[in-house]
Amino acid sequence: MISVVATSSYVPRRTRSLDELTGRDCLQTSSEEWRESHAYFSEFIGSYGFDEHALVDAIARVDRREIRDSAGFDHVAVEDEMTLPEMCVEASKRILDPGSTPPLSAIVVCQTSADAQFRTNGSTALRLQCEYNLKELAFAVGDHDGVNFFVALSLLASLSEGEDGLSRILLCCGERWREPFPRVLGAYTVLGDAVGSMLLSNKPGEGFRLRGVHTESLHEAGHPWGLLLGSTPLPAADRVADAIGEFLRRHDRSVVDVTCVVPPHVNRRLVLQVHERLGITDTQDSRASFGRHGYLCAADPVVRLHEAFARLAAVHSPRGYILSWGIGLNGTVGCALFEADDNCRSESFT
Amino acid sequence: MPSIQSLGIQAAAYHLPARRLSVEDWARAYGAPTLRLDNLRQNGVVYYHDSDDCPTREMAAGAIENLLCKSGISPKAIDLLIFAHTGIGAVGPPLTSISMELKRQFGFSNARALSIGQQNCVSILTSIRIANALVQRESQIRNVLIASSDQIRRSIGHVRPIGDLAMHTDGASALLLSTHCDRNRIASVSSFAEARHHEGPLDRVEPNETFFLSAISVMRRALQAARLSGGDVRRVLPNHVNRPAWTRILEFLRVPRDRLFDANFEKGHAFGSDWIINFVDHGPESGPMLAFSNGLSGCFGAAVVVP
Repeated sequence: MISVVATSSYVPRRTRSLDELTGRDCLQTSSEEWRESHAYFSEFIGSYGFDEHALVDAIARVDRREIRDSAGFDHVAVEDEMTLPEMCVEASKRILDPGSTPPLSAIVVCQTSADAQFRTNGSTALRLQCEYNLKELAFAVGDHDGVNFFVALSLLASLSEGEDGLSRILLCCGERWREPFPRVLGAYTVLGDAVGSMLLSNKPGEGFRLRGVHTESLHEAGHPWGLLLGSTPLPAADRVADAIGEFLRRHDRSVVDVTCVVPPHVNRRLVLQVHERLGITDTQDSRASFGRHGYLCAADPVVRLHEAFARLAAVHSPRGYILSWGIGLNGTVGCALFEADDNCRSESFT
Repeated sequence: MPSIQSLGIQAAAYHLPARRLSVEDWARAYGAPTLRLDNLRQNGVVYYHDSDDCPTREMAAGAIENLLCKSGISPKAIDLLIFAHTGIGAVGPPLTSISMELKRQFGFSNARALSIGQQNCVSILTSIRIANALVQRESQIRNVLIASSDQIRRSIGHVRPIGDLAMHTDGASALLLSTHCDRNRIASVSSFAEARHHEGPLDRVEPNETFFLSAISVMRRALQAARLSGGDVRRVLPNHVNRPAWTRILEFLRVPRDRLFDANFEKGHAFGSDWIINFVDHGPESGPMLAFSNGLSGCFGAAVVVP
C-alpha cells in the first residue's frame, strides 16, 4: 500500500462573488484569453448540442439564494495570472525541489478544466515533467471530475505494488476554469480554481497510509451542464451514503472508527444528508469552512485532505482513520480510507 | 523499462471518416505555396479524412463497433475501458466524460471506465503500460478496451499539416487486449518525453535536434525489454510522419528497410492511432513487430508485439 508523505495546495487569493458570476454579462469580457477560449467553447458547445445563449439565460435565472443557503457558496477562488500548468508547478514546489532525491518514478495529473491548451499540444503533465526532469511515466487521469483523484489513487495503489512498483509519485490535481466557461452549475454547485499536490511513496513508515480506495458508478447521469439547464437529476444522498458505508464494511471498519471525514465541498445540503445517513457526528466532520474557495472539482479532495492532514499532523501522535469521499458530476462516487502512521511529520503537511 | 507479456492483442480496428480530401484540396483552401505542396508529397502525404467537426466520440464509436464485430466479444466481458486522448480536441467540452458515454452506448456494464491523456500521440501506449500493470495486480481484469479518437476542427484547419512532414487526418482506433490471448503478445512498451518541448505549438514544428536520438532510443529500449535485436524485427509499424527519416532510423536500428510497413503514409497521420491502423492493414505476421508513436511536445513511444 502507498502512503501520502507530503501534501500542499495553491488556492488563488482573488475571489469572484456569486453576483459577479451570475450577472447577464457573466460570460462576456474582452480579454484575449476570453476570445481564444470562447471560440473553442462555442464550437464544442455547438457540436455537443448545447446552445450558448441558453446557458447564459440559465445562469441569469439561477436561484442565488438557494446557492448561498443550500449549496453553501457565496464566492469562489479565481486565478487570473497563472495558467493551470504553472499553478501545478507552484503547488508541487511546496513539497518537492526540482533536484530532490530520490527522483520521482511517476507524475500523475487530474484535471477537468481545459487551460493553456488551445493553441498548443502542451499539457500539465508535460509541464511538470519538464520541471522535475522526469522523462518516463507521466499521464493524466480524466473523465470523472471530482472522482478523478480516487480513480488515480486506485491506479497508483496497484502500480506501486511489488518490488518493481512505482516508489515515489507526484500526484497533482488542479482546475482553472477559463472564461467564458460557466462556473455556476445551476443551484447545485459553483466551480473555483485551485491545485492540490500530493507526494506518495510505497515505503511505509511516515505520513498517512492508504488503507483502501473505491470508485463506483451510481446512476446514469446526463451531461453535467444539464444541472444548469435543469435536465440532469441531482445525486441521491442515500445511494452515495450507502456506497460509502459498504466501502467501510468491506475494509472491516465502520463510521465510529473514523477520526475525521473529509467530504467534497460540492453542495452543503447533499453533504449533510450523506453524513446524516451515515451517522457521522460533528466532531468527525472536517467541513467547518464549507464552501470556501468554491467547489474545486478534481482538486477538491486533495485540497481538503491537505487541510485535514495539516491539522492532524500538528497533533503530536495522530491516530485513527481519515475518510475522504467525492462525487462526480457524471454519477460516480469515490472514497478512500487513510490511517496515520506513527511517524507523521507536521512540516510535510503545511 | 518493463517487459510486459501479460496482454495480447485479441482484436484491433479503426475508423476513418468517409469524407476524403487530397493534399491539393487542403492547399487550395489554405493557400499553401507550391514548394510546400511538393515537400508534403515527398514526405508521403497524399490525402486525409475530414470528420466535418463531428464529435470525436462518434468516430471512437465507429472504431469500437468495428472491433466488437471483428472480435465477437460480448460488451459485458469488457473489464476496463480506457479512452486515450491526445490533445484538447480529442475530448468534448470540459465535464464531458467520453469514456462513460461510450460505456453507456455499448453496454460495457462491467467495465471500469476512465481516460488517460496528456502524452499526446503516445497516450495509447501509455494506456497499454498502465493496463498491463493493472492486469498483473488485479486478476479480475481480463479484457481491456482502449479507444482513441482525434480530429482537427475546421476552425483550425490551417494547422492540419505538421510542418512539411505530415498531414493530420481525423480518425479513431480501438484495441482489445486480453490476458488469455496467446497471439500478438505485447512484449514491451517503452515511452518517454523530452518535456522541455512541453509547450508544443500546433501551428509550427519546434526544431527538435534530438528527434533521431529520441526515436531510436525509445525503439531500442522497447527491443531490449523484449530481449530482441533489430535484426529480429519482421515488421515496423511506423507513425505516418516524415517518411524519408525512416531510412536513417532503420539503419541505426539495424532493421532492413523492407521491413517498414509504409503503405499507409498516404492516409495521413491519425495521431496516436497510426501504428494500430498499420497493425490492422498489414495482417498476420510471422515474427516480432515494432510499433512507434511520436507526438508534439517531445513525446516518444514504442512497443514490441510478438505474434
